[in-house]
Amino acid sequence: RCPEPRTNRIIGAYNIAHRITHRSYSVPRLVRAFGSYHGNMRGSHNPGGGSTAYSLKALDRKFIYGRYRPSEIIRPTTDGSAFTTNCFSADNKGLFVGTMRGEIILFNLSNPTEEALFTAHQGSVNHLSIHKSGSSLLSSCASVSEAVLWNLDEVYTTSEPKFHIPNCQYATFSSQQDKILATMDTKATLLDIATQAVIRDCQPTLSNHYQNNRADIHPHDELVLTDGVLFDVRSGREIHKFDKINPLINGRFHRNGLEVISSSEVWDLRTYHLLRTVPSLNLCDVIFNSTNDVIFGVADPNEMEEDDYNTSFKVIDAINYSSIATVDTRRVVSSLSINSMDSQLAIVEANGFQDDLDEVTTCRLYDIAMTRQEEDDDPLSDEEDDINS
Amino acid sequence: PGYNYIVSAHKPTAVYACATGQLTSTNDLNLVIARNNVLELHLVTPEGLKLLKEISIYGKITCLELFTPRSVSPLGDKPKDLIFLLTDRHNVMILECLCNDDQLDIITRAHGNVADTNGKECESGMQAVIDPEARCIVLRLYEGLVKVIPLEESNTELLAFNLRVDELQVCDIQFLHGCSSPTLIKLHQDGNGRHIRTHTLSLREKEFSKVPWKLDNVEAEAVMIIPVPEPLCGAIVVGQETISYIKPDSHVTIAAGILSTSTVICYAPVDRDGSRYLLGDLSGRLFMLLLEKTAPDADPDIKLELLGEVCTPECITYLDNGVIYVGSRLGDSRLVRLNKTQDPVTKSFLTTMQTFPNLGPIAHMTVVDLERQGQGQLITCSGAFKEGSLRIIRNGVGIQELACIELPKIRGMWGLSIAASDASIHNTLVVTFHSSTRFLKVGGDIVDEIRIPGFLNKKMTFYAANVNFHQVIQVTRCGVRLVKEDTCKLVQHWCPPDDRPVSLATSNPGQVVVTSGPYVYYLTVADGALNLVSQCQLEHEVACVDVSPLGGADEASVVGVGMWTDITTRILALPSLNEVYKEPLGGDIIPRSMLLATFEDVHYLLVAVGDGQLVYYVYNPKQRHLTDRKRVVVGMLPTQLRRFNSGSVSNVFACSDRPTVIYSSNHKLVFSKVNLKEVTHMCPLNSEAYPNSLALANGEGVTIGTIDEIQKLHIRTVPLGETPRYIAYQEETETFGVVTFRVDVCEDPNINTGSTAVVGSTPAPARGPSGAVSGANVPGYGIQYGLGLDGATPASLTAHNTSYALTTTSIIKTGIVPPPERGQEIETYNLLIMAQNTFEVIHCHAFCPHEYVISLISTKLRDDPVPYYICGTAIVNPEESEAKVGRIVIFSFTDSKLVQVAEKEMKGAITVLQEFQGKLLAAVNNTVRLFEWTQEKELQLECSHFNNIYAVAMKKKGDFVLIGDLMRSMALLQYKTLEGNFEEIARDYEPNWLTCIEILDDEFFLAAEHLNNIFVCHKDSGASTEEERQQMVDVARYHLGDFVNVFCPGSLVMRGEEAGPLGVAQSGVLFGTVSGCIGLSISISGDLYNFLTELSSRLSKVIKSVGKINHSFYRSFHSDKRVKKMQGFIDGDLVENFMDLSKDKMEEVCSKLTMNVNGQAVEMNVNEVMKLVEELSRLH
Repeated sequence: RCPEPRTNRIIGAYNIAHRITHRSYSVPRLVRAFGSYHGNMRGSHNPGGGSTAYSLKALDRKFIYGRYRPSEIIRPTTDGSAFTTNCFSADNKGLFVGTMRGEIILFNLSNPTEEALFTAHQGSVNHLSIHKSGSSLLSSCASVSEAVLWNLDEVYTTSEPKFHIPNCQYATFSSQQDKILATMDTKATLLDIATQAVIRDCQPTLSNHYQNNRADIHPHDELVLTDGVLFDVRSGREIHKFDKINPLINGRFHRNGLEVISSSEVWDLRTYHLLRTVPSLNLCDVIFNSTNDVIFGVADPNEMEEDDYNTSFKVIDAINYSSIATVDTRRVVSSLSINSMDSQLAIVEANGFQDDLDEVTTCRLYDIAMTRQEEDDDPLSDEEDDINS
Repeated sequence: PGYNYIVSAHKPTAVYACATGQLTSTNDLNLVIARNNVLELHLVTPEGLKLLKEISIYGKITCLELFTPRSVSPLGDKPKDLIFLLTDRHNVMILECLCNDDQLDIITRAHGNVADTNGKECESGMQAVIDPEARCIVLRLYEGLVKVIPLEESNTELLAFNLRVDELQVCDIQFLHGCSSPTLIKLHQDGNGRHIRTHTLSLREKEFSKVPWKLDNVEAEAVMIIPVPEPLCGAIVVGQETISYIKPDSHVTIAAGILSTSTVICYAPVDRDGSRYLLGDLSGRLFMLLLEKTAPDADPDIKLELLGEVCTPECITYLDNGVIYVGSRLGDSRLVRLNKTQDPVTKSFLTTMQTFPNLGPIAHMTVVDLERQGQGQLITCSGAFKEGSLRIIRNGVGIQELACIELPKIRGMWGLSIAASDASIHNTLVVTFHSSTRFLKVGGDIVDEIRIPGFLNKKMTFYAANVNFHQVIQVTRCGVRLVKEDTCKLVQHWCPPDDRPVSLATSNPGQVVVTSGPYVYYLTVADGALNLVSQCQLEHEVACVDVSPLGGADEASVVGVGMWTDITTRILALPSLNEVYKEPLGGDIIPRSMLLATFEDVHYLLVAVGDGQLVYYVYNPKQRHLTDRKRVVVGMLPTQLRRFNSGSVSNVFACSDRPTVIYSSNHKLVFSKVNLKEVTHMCPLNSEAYPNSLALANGEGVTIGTIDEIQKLHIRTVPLGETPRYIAYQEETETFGVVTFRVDVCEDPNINTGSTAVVGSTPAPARGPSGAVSGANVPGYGIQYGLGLDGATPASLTAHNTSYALTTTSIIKTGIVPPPERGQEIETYNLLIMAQNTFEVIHCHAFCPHEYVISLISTKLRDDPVPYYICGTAIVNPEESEAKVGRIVIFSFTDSKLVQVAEKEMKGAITVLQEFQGKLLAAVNNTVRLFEWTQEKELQLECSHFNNIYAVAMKKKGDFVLIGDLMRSMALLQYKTLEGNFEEIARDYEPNWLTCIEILDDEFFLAAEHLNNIFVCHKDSGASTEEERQQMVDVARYHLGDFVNVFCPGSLVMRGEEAGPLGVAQSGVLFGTVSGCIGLSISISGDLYNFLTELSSRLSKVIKSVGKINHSFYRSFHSDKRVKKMQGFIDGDLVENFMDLSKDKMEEVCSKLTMNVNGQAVEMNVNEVMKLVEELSRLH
């Protein structure tokens, strides 16, 4: 007879009060004895209700990244300048928002007001990323196929680009922040910021022809993934083509440098085998927090079926791929960014018709890990509905 | 406060790993113990463990393994074992112990860092295993791979390569024995259960070449693999209910139901042939596992036998001759003897031979001054579960007073044994005054004055002692009187030639040395006679003299003398009295007292100088010379040195205005203050009424007392048998409030259900057949009590009075959380009220099932004169991520009764409580709330502040409240009295996961975080912009390498009258850690900081780091993805190593060293640095 799985000895670990009490006694050997803590996570997170192992750190991540408090709503001030994308400033005190008309607006977050604005492109801004120095901003515009690196110290007075990159639908900084990876259709180009020279063109000979290819660079800047094909940056050689499982997106390197997350598929970079499938990340672009242990997943609204709008963003544990939360939003999330302190999250919400200039867009900010402030000071008042599922 | 000196006052004591091997020589057996960042090397001797060396490691030791390197000797001699260490920051090292001429050196044979830049760290901890034939080391650090370090004799750098492991969830790996290639055996889990797989490792191809065999579906809860050595080979798999012995082609399994109530966490092989193993489980039980071969070809039989219960082990190792070392992290570690027969009462095969105190984990602590001496005592909540205890920690050595005799103006004192049945028993105390001597009989506990016919009582005695042949001597100005013990008659009176007056005298049983001005006379003791053997005349007068035999010798071979005029120390050889060595003392103050003493096999000459300084040398008996001169200040007045024994160890007592005990620890002299104001004379006294005591004289009289066990910090233990969580002191009621929890097992949830509460006296615990106590505890549940260490009753069950929350609360109803299932463990929280002197439990208030008490204070509120104990609780529902209900409960303790005065329900856990301007401040999950205490004795909410994830700490100062958050570092709030609300005025925006905080002053704030770093944030009130004023900046940061649970402002030393080193603040912050370390962080001036920074950087170059880890790498702040340089903190543990350096190393460090004082560069030579470092070391 097989013995019954025994009653869980550290059953309280799911509760933060228990964890805080017991961390004062630190029990590493216990963790090893059990493989890890078995949080008996009944409920939706673990339909099996079995003994999935959750480490204490994972439970802390779940506690922190499972809660979001809406803090600010920013709305376009002029008609027609619908928001498209956003990113935090390097000091986290400002938020850059791109618009449909090609403007980039800087909002001051301490009292959400429009602080500055300049016109960057003659078309909708589809992506923004801030250089870690805080002094330059990279924007891209797919409709006119260009990306521009702006010097933030001068841009409001001169509107002169620091570095103009033609033939580019989407651009990001390399991990070391000294290069720019520009995507044009299936091709990815790596450019040096200092010299503005092309370092490497990665043009797959045979590729997956994703509808929305966005190339990505490995955390060590050694590999580039474009349209499902992996390139070695130094040699420029094509290393591997991943199987095409989804029609839309190329995917991203996990910030641990070991995996590629492409829609719901997680590939092992060492063997190119499929490691696991995470259904909740289906067709989602993924954004990492600063410690690279949490993934935010946002589905591309342009590719959704109209009757199947997904008004939420997903939060996934980047270590064990368990689901932390699905945060419901009012409208479709078209862009999500997280500040470098992991304390705030900003999303751009839209109705989902990106072609419609009159659509209602808002930029919504959340305080991560905070719960909604009780309006009433009476601690016994009955109003505390968590916004997470 | 931006500059701090941080030092450990008490090194970590929690044991994380241990191992035995032949390290110092192939003939020795050594025990190695890892205590956080300290490695302890012992020699196993028939008399017990002998500490050889304590080695600091620049990193937290996560794995410790010993191995025998492959023999390189052409003769095939078995080489010594080597030590392999892995630290938490992935430093690896192979260490060798090298013995040369009594000196033990630790050599780093090879080292390296095996961190990967990417990779998922194993969240279940690191593991290191070594191939039994020492071909390679395998490390499990990251998920999905193992690291392999090939072992080559010539390699000095340890390089690892990665091998992929397909299984996602690996539980344990080990190396199999008897394989031609290194072969790993692995226990892993997948969706179907747990499985065993073996892998052959090809070091040349750097791959797993094959899977020789595997076994699917071993026990679903299997936890551990034990590899079995040759000739049996194979492996043992230990599970929760079964034990299996597995081999490639067969396996045997036995049911071991006895294991199921706990979990096996460590093992140790006993025999080389692999037939016996010790297993230790979480509840502290030790088992013997036997593999018995019944037939040559058959599989062995497996037998499991319970040996008994000890402390909860973290690691065990078998020494020899049935002696086991049990290392513990949660309590005191032990040396245990395994007996052949069972104790008929306890049914145990084990007897504890020795315990090694451990303060860890220190969950909470408080500083109190119970004796009102101006010196703080620290009371810690130490240990966990059955090992829980309170520890009362005081700096210095305590004297327990037994008797006092009023005798003013004593000039000298000696204990004698005159015709006693046992020569080691003193029955006479000789006390001398300016012109008379009195003899006191100390038989029984009454002290009578007696006469000894052969002794003079109208003269001052210079010296008195027992000598050989049952005789005693008395030395006065006139000469030496030799008296027979039995008759008390004078047998000889010896006086110096020409009737020179005696000035000094000393003796040992067979030798007497007398001086008269510059003349020295050497006499030997015969039966009934003193014979002058030799005499000499020195150039100057003799100021002090000593003729102590070295070590255990009967006779001294030299006399030490200190001189007037030229201020020298001289060594005169016996019997000739020829001068063999002369050393100037330095300075112009005369030596007053001298002693040759042996500590831990090292001979020292101690010389006390007239101004309270003590100069000491190492004495080399072969060459008869003095080396390693050091000096230390032990007082302000002339000091007398006296020898006494504590246990079997010889110590020295320095009588002065700051009485000090000198002893040796880890081959280093330690000077520990005694808790007495002044001692002018002292002598050991071992009488029947006062065994192993000391007689101590001051201006007023004599105190007879016993001395505590000698150590720098004196620690007293109050065992609780359950886990202490918080402690608070209530001066008015002379009590301590202690929150504890006890782990009980639910036996039958149906017992007593629906029954009304039982209140009142303690339910009498009845011993059940299993040796466990059972009975009705909390109404509504059938409970099996968890027992304390060695079966002791937990403190909460020993209370004189008991009350239950279920009967006093109107808030918590039974059934608010699901009732426990049968066999489930429940933590029962209690508030214990303990008497401040006896620590007996006067009252125990038991809280509701699943109600955790997570905060406690003692305070008065508003103008209400009653002092209250206030508890904050949380109902912990295991299905919720945070508590939804909690209570603030207010108790008063009057007339030996604890009464609940008020309670308040809150929607969350009351994580911290704090008195604030007569009101009560409570952190409730993410909010901070301020309550008024009304006339009706109720809590009324005044205002709230919401901007936290989960408040874990809170401190106040004036109008300010500092809040430490689970992840959002800290925020400073200001209370606006007029508006009656809080305003957040500054915050640290870095994501720091805090454990505790302290306010240093209005602008500087100290915090500790969960990855063992500490830092200081600065709020710059003078900054030009609002934004800058609101943002705290970390100005100081440091990797402590230990998890800090509590900060406590205060100090363990009295510093009132002494100015202390220049530039050091008056008081600091004490901290307590998980591994049992007590540390001190204290603010220093910028000048001192700059100087000590330079000194540390020079020291870190001169002091070789074991394992070649860089000091700055070790101390850099590293947390998640951030690494920042250490700054604003001085590593006192490094600085204080200066005192251990050799003279030339000291010179090297101090070369051209300067310190800025008031803008002037002042040169610091060796002596000044020594003085400064010594003063710094006296801060703790």
